[in-house]
Amino acid sequence: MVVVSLTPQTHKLIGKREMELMKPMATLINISRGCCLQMALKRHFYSNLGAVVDQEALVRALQAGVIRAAALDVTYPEPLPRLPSVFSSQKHAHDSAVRVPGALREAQQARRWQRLPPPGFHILDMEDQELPYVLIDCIGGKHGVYEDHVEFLKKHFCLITMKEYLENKKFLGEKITAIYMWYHKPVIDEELLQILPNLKVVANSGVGIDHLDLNLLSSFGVKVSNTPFVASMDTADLGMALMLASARRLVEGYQMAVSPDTEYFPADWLGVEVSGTTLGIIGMGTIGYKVAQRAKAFDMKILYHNRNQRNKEEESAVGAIYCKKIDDLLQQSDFVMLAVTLTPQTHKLIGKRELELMKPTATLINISRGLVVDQDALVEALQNKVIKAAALDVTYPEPLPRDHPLLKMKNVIITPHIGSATKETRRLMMKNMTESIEAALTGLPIPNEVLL
Amino acid sequence: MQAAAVGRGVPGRLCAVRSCAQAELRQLSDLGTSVTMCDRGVCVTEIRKLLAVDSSGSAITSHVHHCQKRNVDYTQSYKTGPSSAGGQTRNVPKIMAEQELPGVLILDIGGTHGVLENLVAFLKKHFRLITMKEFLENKKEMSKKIQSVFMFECRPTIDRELLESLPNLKVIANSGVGVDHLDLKMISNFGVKVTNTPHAVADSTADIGMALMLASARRLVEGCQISISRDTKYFAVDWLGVEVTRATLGIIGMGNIGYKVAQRAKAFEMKILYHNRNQRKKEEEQAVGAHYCEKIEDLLQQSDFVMLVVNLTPETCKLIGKRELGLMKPTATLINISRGAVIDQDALVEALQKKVIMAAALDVTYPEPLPRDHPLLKLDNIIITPHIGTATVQAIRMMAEEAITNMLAVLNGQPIPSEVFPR
Repeated sequence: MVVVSLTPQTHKLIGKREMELMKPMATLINISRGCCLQMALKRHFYSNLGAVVDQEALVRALQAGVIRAAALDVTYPEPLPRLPSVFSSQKHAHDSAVRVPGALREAQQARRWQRLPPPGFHILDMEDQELPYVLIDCIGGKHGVYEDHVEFLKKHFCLITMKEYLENKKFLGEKITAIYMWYHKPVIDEELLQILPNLKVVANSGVGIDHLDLNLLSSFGVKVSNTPFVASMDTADLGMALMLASARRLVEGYQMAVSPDTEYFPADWLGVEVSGTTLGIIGMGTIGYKVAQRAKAFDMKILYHNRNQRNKEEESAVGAIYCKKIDDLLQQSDFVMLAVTLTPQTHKLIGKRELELMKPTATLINISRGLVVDQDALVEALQNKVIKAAALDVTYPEPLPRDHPLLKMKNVIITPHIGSATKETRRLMMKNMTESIEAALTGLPIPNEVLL
Repeated sequence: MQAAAVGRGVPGRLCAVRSCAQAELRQLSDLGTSVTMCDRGVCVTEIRKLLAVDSSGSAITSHVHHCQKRNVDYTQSYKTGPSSAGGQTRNVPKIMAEQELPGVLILDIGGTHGVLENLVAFLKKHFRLITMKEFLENKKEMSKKIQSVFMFECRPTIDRELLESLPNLKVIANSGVGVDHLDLKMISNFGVKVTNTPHAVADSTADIGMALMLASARRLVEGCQISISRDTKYFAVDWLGVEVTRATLGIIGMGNIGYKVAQRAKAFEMKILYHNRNQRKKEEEQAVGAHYCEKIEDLLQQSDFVMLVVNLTPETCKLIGKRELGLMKPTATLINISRGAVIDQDALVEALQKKVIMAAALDVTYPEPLPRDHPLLKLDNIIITPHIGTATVQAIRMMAEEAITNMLAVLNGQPIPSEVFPR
């Protein structure tokens, strides 16, 4: 066991000669210094950069079986590069070196080397062994976990992609304790749950969990978390953006401004005002309330319909008037915004009857879920001018089939479900999910747990 | 219902403070009392008194107040009360008899550039409408009748020749607030007054500024194109925009419209910086959480969104050029709802091509529309709208009302609500 401080005298104290003097069944343990960065900077030990143990000699000694094993809390550099000579798969001959991440100098880490696995243990990156195994769909590409999130995630988890998992189901199936569900992938079904016996938590990105079978997951004892608040501001912003763009005919206007056929801007080309008009918010949860806060600044009159009435202070802060009956809201609003969660009760909440109750000059805005609106009834209402326009961030399905009538209508704006599509928010979501997984795995209360 | 007698030399009209409770004013107008605006007058309690008297049916007691002639430099910022909120119409003065109607010159009725047909009905209540065509066909007779010109979408063009042929012209009423297309000095030399419509435009222009900022940040137009494109098979998960909430907005020009933009941006929890010729009062700054930047450089360097809300004057022409664009963050977006000439357009093209700034959103360009081969039309990090800052049904109507009120004030020798003076 090497317990010296690093000085010019102890530099490469344990070299080839010393290792050959050791018993062949001996174990070398280093808790002093693998390297000394300050020394390195002074370029005193440039060649080996200030290690107490001659690392190259150690590798050769282990390869040749000169000593049996080594246990190092410190190396140079930290972490070591993933050199095949030292770290590789189980296939490698010298399966006797075990490395503990020296970067973490907590007492916990110092104790860890005491719990060395028995001889013959395979070389695996100790970091991987300590970190929980988390299943993801894939990295990068059009659906995967973002590449610039991976660095952060890898500090907390050992990420296993679906591809890696399928190649090694038996081994990894038991290791996986969490699923990081990024935009509805990987798909979770009963089959998957059965082969992941140690699965404890599924962290879902975004707030909607209608694509998950909560009962099924609960029956397997798996907890679920989502990211309810982090996306609420951006979704409210998008609701406002859609309302303004629809009222002022922004997309049409843009097309006119850039069209090669445009010769002049006609004087009778008009939109409608947003300021001073009436907004009806259906679903006054976190997102709905943030919409109300923004709309208030536009001098809008705000009506809202919700399962429960908000308290008086909240209502007066945004000047919102409660409509117990949805009909009252529909009949008085110039803009109707849907900000509900999708549940059996809100499925097809807006159908033919509701559309007919709306003003013929009204606009419907949907930032909740496509299924909240009876889409066929909406198409009919727009074609027959029962309502004036619609602006949808969500449809069913997404994307719509390319021949769907909604895509052809001039008075419809559709965006590709971008309610939370900002760099800042997605990063926050990722961090929230990480927290939820770590809490679940350590038995702590889970932030943003979704309860049945 | 008898109208209340008020004000100096203004029988039959009730003057009310602009910031008066709109509900009260509407009640009064519903009762048949005509209302015009001036800058002093009846306070809310007085109106309520009048209403109480009205509803009982007895004659309204007169309310005397001092109504001073108001000289307003158009470069000042106006206080706007709820009167400019959309959808609220102001009552205009009593209709005069047919033969007394003063003549107003307009370009045309309907068509591509003419006055909208529904506004024509409005105008006809107070004026005899004379189109340019009618005028040119019968100059001798018509020229004496024309006392005012109603400008709509910057037409008809006012030049020396026209002014010389209209000896009885007293006022040119512009719809819209910008008067950079008028030669104010020349018009003033002919003894003709110019008025604009600052109240009618403020809300809708502020709204379009916010709409452009949100649409640009969230890539709304691109998103729409993806949604309807025939080639779209799925929505990519890594397709992202940037946040508006909690970002920093720099407003250049904190007049009427700029202040309304600040009010809206505050609700989005934006940090607000502003640059203006003069600093606003502390209460006004605190109400929207705005920080004054005496040097425009400070604003440009710190803002995620830069919005131009200035008048076009010789000082603001090409206010944003290569230097200013270079000072902006590479992740910043430039939004222009003022006038195209405030930006050095060639410098902007270069900045966008070289990614000196991230994006731009313009409601105004120079000229309008841009030539069809202009490089701005080909960039993918730009949104352009066809000068629709006031293109709403409500705003157009309010502009006409405000213009009519101005014209009648001039012709009746009353205080003019929004006169514009040459510098």
